[in-house]
Amino acid sequence: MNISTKKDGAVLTLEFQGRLDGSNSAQVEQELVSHIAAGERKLLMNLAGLEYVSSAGLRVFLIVAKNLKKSQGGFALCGMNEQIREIFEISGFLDLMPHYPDRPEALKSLG
Amino acid sequence: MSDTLALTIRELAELGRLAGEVEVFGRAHDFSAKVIYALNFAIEEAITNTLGHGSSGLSGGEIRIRIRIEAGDVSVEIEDEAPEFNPLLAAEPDTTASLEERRVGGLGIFLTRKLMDSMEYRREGGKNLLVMKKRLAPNQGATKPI
Repeated sequence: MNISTKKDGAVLTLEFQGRLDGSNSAQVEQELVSHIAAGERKLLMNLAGLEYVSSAGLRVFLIVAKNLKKSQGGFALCGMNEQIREIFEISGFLDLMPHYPDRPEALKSLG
Repeated sequence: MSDTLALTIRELAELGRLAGEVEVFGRAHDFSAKVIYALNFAIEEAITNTLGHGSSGLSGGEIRIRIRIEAGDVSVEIEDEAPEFNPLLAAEPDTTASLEERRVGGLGIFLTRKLMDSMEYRREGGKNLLVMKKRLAPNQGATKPI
């Protein structure tokens, strides 16, 4: 899993590339949490390059979303492919996490 | 390529390798991306539960996986000697809970049961035996000529 970052005003976009599974979810969680610890309050997860997510990976998104909600920050997802979207939907996560087909709309939502 | 794929895994770091082998097998048998995803997800979930529930109990430290095509289904059989663990007994998460209330655990088995068509477990001879099946569409499952 590679994550590249991009800053647009107050929004930090994280672009996921590859698989997010039990072999790397702890490191990814660590990376996201460290951005928040460094002061980032608005995170946009661009999942266009995410090929696979397991329950370990879902856990990371839930933890980060909870964290940002609690601190009244912003959290949004964009770019999910059909398979990834289905996983998030069955989990009930689409009701919990703002999600958009593409980045521009997601960025707009995070103000 | 035969209709059976046998795999072993000892640790989560091998998940990428495993996914690659499942992908190759799946493509050779015209599995849809959805079927391949379900297999990888189901395998990872089972392995994670086993490795998290006392891998010190694993004899030889390995989990054995067999993927088979038979009678229009793809089946995944997972066998290990870890302490008894029946995933069918796991409580379901509340998928309608609010973000604040939503608990972090419990999702993997729930999702596996949604992605796969059946799941059976038995404990036999000191082993956990988990069998999960998914129905293949009529145009999937045949071995493509090389």
